[in-house]
Amino acid sequence: MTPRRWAIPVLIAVVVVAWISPPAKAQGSATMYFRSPVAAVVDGQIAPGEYSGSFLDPTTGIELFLVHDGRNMTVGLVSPGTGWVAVGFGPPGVLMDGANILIGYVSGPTTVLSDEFGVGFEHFADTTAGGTDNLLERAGTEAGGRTTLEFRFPLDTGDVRDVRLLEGQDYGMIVAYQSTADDLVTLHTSAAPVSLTVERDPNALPTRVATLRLGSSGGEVEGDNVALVATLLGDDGAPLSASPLSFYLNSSVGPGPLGTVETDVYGVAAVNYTFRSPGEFTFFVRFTGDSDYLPARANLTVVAQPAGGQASFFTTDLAIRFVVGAVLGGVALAYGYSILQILQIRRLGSRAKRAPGRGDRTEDGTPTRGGMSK
Amino acid sequence: MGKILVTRLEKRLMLPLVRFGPRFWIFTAALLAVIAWGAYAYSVQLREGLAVTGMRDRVSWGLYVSTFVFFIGISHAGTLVSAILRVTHAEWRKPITRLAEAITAFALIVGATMVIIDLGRPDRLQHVLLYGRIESPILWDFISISFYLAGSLLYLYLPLIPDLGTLRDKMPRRARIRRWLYSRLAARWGDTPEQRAHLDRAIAVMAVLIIPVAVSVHTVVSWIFGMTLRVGWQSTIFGPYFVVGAIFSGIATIIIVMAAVRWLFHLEKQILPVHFRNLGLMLLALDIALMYFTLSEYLTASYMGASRDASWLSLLASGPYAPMFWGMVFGGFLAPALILGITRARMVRWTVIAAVLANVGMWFERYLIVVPSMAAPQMPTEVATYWPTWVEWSILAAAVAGFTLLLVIFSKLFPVVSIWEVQEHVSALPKTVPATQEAIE
Repeated sequence: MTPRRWAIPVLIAVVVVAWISPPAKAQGSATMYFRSPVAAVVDGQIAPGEYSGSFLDPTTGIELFLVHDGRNMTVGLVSPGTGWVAVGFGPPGVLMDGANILIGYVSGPTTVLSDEFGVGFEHFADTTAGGTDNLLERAGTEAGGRTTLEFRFPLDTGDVRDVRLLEGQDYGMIVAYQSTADDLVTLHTSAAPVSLTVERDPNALPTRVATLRLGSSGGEVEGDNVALVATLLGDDGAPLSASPLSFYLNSSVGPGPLGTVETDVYGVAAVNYTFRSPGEFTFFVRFTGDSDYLPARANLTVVAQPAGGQASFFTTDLAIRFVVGAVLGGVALAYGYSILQILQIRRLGSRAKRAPGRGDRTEDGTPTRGGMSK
Repeated sequence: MGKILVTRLEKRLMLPLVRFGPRFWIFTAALLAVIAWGAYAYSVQLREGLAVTGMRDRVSWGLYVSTFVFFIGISHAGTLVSAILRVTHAEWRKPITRLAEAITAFALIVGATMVIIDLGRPDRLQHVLLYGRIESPILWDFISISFYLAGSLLYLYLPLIPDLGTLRDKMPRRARIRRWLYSRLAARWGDTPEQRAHLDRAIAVMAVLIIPVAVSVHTVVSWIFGMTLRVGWQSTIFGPYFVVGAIFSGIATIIIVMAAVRWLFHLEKQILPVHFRNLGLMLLALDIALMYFTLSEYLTASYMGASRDASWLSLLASGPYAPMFWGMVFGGFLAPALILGITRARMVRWTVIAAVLANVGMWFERYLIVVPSMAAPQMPTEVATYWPTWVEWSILAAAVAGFTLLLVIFSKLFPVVSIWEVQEHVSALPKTVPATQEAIE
């Protein structure tokens, strides 16, 4: 058969195999429970109730026990083999590349466990790249063809090669084992990705300080639109996404809400504002905080210039003040004129009183008045 | 002791000033009791703060501001009606102008007091002058009301001068304090032609000037609402709408007070059915104009169907304010129009009933302008609730009692019908009854 004749049966076979193959198993999901204090003891043996729960990965058959106290995680791994067993932590969807890998084996009385990092399909000890081995405790046992490894490791080591795990966040994991080889280099027997949720301390108060910045872009002229752009960053400098930010315009009667927008993946949220008049405008944006981060606020003052072709605010204001003053002055003058007439009436009355024969009351009761009764 | 000669008309109009029956004392005591209770309620508010009212952050204007707008409206009664009739030389006006002018001054005093009561910190009233900005309608309001009050008092005083001269000369000698008071206030009136010329000049100036001042007052009051970005308030017709409503409620108040005075002081020969008829017809005309403005205001908002307008209108038409809204439409606007239209204001009793309905309806209208717009949410949130507390109701009752008491005191100090103007009017009539002279001690 020529290669061309081979191609068609192979293609058919591939399609048929793909068709009849069982669908890929859904990725498992494990939880790292919060317990304080942690009851688990790193002794290479997992007693019932030592951990709050476990997760059995259906692909590899590895059973995971995960618990943390807010500072350190305690992990138990039980593999269906006697060779090495490993777990790697990283962002959601992580495989080996970029994962913080803890890998080890039990050989007789010796337990080997190493803090490593993944690059492509390889892994290296942190110590080879300027990092440190951050394992706090480690222990392992082999029994019944199964290997049990336990270790305690900081959630945040500060090592650039390690992944910091935050409470309440989701991460990715990879678990793998080798059925017989007590080394760190033989290809795995089975490996699978697992998603991980780090349970939050239900009583924890936020302590972290976010950075919130407010800037503007666009025209700063009366009648123009300006975009108010806020950026929210975590204390590690990483953007905080999906966080609601509320924008306000500060006014003499209090803050006027302009809108609430969620930050995007870059930690950015923006609203538009139209300057209805020239002058100084003070905006502010508020982040109400979450379980990790404290509330934050940022201010921005923008001076909108008068629109072209219009009289300056000062000129208009002065003209209005003059008109108002003139009208009020006119009314006051008219009132004054009426009061002056009253004074004239009084003066004339005084003169009539002094002059004999003026101001006497007539006997017939006609409207002439002025004299007191005798 | 010599006798003082008075005409029958003078005697008729001066008698209420010297007669104090038990009915007067009981009524005055009742008014004072209501005012005292209101003062106690205000002392509670001063001590505890505005938290004792139903007002909160969402509905920060309630009964007080509604009543302020209502009384400022009533204040148009007088001066405006009196001035317009004076400028147009409507001779029939003469027996009613004094009452109208007094109503104006007292309604302004009570209305302005309501604003001060509405302040959580009344001691900061001075800040309006010290730190007020001329761009703010609040300051415009303060200025226009101050000018209107000064002008109204002046306009009330000017036509009083000749009567004060009469009272100074013809009050019984035993009323020494009052004679002293009249003597001080009479500006040495001797009814000389020169004095008359000065008086006519002053009245003419004030009559012309007070009309734009009065119009400006309620226009500016309307702008406090109309220039605010809030559903139900932002409207271009609020200026004329408020002015028409103000004159409407003002005339209604004149009719009510006129009827009370006529009945209490037996002034059936001075305040005639024709006065009720003329004012009733004016009330009818203004009622029709007010209904037109109301229809225009609400129809425009409902036709456009903006979501905020729709939710505000639903509050009025079918929400918690519906009884008051439909009460205003049917009881305050339509019913007076029907009564006055059918009777053509020929019957005093029905004209008074129409006036009472109109005033109640106008108070509802003021409340409905202020409160539902504040209760309607500015943000996507629930409708705010507001109901006045006993403190607010007590102060409202005290305000009405205070207004009434001022009128009662005025009617016991000064003739409620202008003696000299009516005398002039009677003298000018072809079939004048001779001015019979009588003597009083």
